[in-house]
Amino acid sequence: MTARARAVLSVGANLGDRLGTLQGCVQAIARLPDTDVLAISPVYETTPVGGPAQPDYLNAVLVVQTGLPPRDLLAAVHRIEADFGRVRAGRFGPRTLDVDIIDYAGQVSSDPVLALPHPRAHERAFVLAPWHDIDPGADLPGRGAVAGLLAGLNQAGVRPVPGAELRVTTP
Amino acid sequence: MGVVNVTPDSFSDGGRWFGADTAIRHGLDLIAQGADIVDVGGESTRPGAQRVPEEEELRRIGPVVTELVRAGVPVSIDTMRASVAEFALDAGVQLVNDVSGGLADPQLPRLVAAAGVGYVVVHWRGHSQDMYARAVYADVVSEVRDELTRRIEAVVAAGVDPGRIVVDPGLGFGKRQEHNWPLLASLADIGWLGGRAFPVLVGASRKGFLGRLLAAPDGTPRPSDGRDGATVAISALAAAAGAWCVRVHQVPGNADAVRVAAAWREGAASRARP
Repeated sequence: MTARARAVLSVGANLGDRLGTLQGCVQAIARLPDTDVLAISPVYETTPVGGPAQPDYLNAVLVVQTGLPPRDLLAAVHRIEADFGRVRAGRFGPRTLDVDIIDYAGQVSSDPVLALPHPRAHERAFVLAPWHDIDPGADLPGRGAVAGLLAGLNQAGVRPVPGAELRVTTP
Repeated sequence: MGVVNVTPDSFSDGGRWFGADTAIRHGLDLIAQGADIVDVGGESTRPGAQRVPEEEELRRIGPVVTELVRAGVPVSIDTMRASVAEFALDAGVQLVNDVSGGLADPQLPRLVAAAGVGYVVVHWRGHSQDMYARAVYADVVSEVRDELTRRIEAVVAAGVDPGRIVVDPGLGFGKRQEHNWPLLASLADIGWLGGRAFPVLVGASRKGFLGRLLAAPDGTPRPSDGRDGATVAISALAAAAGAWCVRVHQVPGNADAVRVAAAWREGAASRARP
């Protein structure tokens, strides 16, 4: 058994029962083998920028501790996306659920299958804002402090959703 | 990368993995043997092969892709068809291996772009029925690099993230025996396209040019099941030359070869350090 690593995951949904999808996703992540959810951010609503017109997203960030190596964690989140993501808005449209690995133990990799940290994270307020909420001192490897990156972004399209809360429910 | 051909006519494994249950078990075995990813394909691309109807390709790969993803296996889909890629992307594959490099179905690159997964752009000049008719090169390495560069420009224009692109020189696809070796000897150059380094995938496993290299004294090519040793040698040399991944039918020897090459490169790097 390898040492467990801290990983940061971003989750987003913009079709159907968005909050229900995110809650199911959190539960599925919590049930992954050798994986504990350490923190779950508040839920944000985000107006998508660029690309075709599409409904607003609900977004959140999770910090987990996992014994899964990066590739296995990626395979696991793809499976969760597939389980929840069967409805799509058009052939080239968004999926019901997006799960991205933002950071894995500070690793840096330009692998075409699993780039670390996530190559777009530094420009996404919907990732950095919730991440900053649960880990104000966080760093995005190779990019710098999350707080500083967030301060440089326009956050107008990213709004906290009062009353929306994601949690891990114990059986 | 381990290969799961869900085809009755694949030249290299004689269709032994035809049938979903067998293919799923084989995929799980490949991972247990050390593969990082399993490449599932339902259409043979061996020289002379006829195209498989779309519904048949979907019927073959559907349960295999779904069950392997469900089992937590990193899966790549080997297809030239957008409809097949679309199914596989919805099922949760991490990579699309398009032997045509986006030429056979222009919708495919857009689907890859929307899904944000990896995309293998293979050098290709036409379907398998008559691929050798196009195997004419004055300078095979330059022409393959130029054509790959144009394909990359096209798929990036369709929205694919350049950081997600893998290139593959397409050994045996529209290449004659003598064309494959200069390509293998130029892997570092093949990944360097348009001022950018792309990861390189090498698919030499059990291909015909190895059979001819290892031919009997009477000229009879070595059958495909006798080409695994040569495949392992190519894996070691390709990985030592910096290839990102090798696509193989037999995992154990090739996984070892990749590890040897990694140690070899580490040894070279440690000597280079002052």
